[in-house]
Amino acid sequence: MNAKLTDRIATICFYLIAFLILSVLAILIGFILYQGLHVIDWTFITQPPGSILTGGGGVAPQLFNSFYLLVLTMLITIPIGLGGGIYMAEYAKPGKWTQMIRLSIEVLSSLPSIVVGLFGLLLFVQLTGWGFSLLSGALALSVFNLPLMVRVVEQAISAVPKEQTEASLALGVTHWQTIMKVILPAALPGIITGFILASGRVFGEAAALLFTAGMTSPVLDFTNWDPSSPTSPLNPLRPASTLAVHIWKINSESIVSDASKIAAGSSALLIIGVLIFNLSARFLGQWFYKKLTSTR
Amino acid sequence: MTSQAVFQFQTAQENIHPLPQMEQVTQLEAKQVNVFYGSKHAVKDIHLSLYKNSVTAFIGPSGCGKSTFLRCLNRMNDTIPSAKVTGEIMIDGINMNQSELNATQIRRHIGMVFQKPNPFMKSIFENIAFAPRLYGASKAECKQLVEESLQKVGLWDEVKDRLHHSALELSGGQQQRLCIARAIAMKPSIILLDEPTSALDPISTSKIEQLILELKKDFTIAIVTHNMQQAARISDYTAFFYMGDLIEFNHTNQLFHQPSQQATIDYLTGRFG
Amino acid sequence: MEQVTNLPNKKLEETSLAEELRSPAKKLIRIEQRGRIYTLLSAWILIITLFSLLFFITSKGIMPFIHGEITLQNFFSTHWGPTSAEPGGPFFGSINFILGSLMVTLLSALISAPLGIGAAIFMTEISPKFGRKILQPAIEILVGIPSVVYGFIGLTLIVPFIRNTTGSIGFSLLAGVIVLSVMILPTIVSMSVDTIQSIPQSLREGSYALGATRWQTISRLLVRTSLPGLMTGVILGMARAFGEALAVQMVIGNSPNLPFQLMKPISTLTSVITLNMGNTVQGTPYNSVLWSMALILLLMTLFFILLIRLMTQRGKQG
Repeated sequence: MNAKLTDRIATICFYLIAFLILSVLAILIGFILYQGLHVIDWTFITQPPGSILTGGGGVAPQLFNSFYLLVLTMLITIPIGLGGGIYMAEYAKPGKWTQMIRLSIEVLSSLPSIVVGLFGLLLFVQLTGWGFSLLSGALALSVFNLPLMVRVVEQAISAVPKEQTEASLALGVTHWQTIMKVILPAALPGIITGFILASGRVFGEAAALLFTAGMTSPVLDFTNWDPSSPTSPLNPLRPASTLAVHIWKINSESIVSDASKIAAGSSALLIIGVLIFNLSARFLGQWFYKKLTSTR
Repeated sequence: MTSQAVFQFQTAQENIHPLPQMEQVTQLEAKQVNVFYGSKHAVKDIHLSLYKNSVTAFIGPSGCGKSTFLRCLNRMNDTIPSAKVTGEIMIDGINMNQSELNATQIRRHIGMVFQKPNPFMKSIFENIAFAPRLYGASKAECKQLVEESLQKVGLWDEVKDRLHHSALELSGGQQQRLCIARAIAMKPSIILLDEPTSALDPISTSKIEQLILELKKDFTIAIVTHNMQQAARISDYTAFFYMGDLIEFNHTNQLFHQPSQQATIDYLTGRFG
Repeated sequence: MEQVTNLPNKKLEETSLAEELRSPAKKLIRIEQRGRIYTLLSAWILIITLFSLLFFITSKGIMPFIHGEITLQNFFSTHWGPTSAEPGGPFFGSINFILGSLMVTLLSALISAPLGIGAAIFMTEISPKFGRKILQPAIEILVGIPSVVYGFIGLTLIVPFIRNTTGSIGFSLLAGVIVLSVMILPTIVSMSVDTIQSIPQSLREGSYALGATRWQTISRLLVRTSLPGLMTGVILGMARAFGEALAVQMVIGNSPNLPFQLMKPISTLTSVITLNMGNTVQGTPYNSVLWSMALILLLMTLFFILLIRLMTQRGKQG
């Protein structure tokens, strides 16, 4: 009887914990959307910030920077991440060298992002002389995104049935071609899901960017698409504050009159962005998988 | 197994490789082939030949080394890091068991079909056209190869309207025939089959057996099977493996009706295995 | 990416094996080698990145001590006054920040560990269906929320709440702990779920067959068997908490107090670095001491990883 009662109480406690976590999430999301959604309108996402005195305006440059930085980071990390993942899954033999790579992946992926940012400040901002720039920011983001990507690729490849590889090798297809034409296509759903989730992380990252991409954006001319021009949005050597950095900046250092409103709107944008990444990762992964395994 | 049986193996050691007395062209000859998995001696000193346009069955209890030996014949054991294969495997007057020779090129000429049907996660068409295309087959050639190969395995009429559907939609038996079609599309000289029907129902199995007899006209075939009746039905030669040794190799008729070794008798009469 | 071109363009039937083997396809081998080199280089980049990071942060971090700008004694004291003109100054005592970081980490782990492990047990033992369909996605969304958003919520929801209920200024150790414990929850949950799921079903059945209740099975069998894995999850969470910068900095108050009162504003290593790195001049002792703090952050991360390695090894042996 006593044991049964304890069991009951314990079960209730577990339900309470589950309920607590769900309500925390609901409050978080609800609060952000409640505070921020009414701030977001066409002006907010298409206009640059207003002046310090008047306030108002929007976050268009920051929003653009966030996406542009994401693209740059992915351009750097996708090829290396694929290569590293393929190496770990297909070529690495057990031994010291492989252990070393594994340790590197583990350490790099658990480094605090502020430390990665400081490393970026030293190497990409100061040593190369690029200054605060999109390129420095993208490289810093790559440092902590890369190990994640390698893991994603390795796991996706390991999940491909061994029989697929055997079938291809037995036909006289080389190992490398087997990887490119049989294994990677079969691993694609997992890889895509993982890449999109990683993109969500990059999209919301701020600490690593404070001292690499900088906290300011120059006035951008959205009609100028010449990447070498200083006012061009595409110029990779210009400083750029992203949406996430913008939120931090106006909350802790800014004196703009409507700081909390802008922060709320930006947070809502950021959350919506992350939710979209999350949902599309699930959806696209499943869609690719279906496409791969059933009727074309 | 009795101790007497063990004794029998040992005394029989000298004359266990009587090559069948028949006018046949040798397609492949294995000499003193040994396989080690780490410290495990999985296949011991095998000497065996495959004859042109014949079916050779490898039988024996599970773990006897028959599949391992089969995998030597197209260097598939290369893919297992701990495996080491010694000895000579002669084909076309060249020993293909040399690490400096490219295994890929060997496998192109010696096809293999596995226990579990393993079509690629691609369309039926792609499953067959994939490898020939890498070897330079044009679009038209691919198309022709696909039809030809599917015709040969008797799958053409069943799938011709859905060539671009996923191969995973096919039934197990169809998948296995597709795998055979995929192998013959590379125009190999030898096809190795590793228990190709063990995952299939009786009807699919008999279709594949028919197919093997048909394919014999164009290819040399080696098949591993745990099913003695199957070996008796489709093979011309049978090799009996036990604990890594080749105990007896002879015409199938001879081996089943007048086995010369006690172990073979024991296995055929169901005393072990 | 390496493009795969077509291989020897001889027709399939025209080549015999021996002929082909005597003249190996060089092109085929070259493509294979290029692919191998490309992946090997990618793996190298990981190692090079890690080592250059270790090298740069370490050398920058020990520099002030080697150059004699700051003494170790000064650094490991509780007196923080980097611009102080008092005699004996400036003071670079960082103990308060180190303790601050440790304190928020420990306290948030104390809150998050039972919740996280409890949630994991709920998802694996109590209601797997509900867990997989609702709780799992919820946890995934929690992971995805950027840390500045956590900071912003802390700033606009938790800090005012603490201010109104206690009458303090709101920015406090407590606010930091609350924010962090939500942030590290997903790490603990997902690691715990993995561990508990890996316990063979037969073990549970054995326990139930002996007449044990579910709670008895959970508390005596599951938690005990999976302890190393659960601990690994908690340590991973702590590593994340220790290194978290912006969310903490936004709610913690940033005063150099010793972190022994929940309602008082404090500072952590990350918050000091975040706030001052941009506002100090390169080469000054004030700036250099921030790099030394970064080195301590790095060393702590390495320490956490070492702990996790020891844990997983113990888990394998047990």
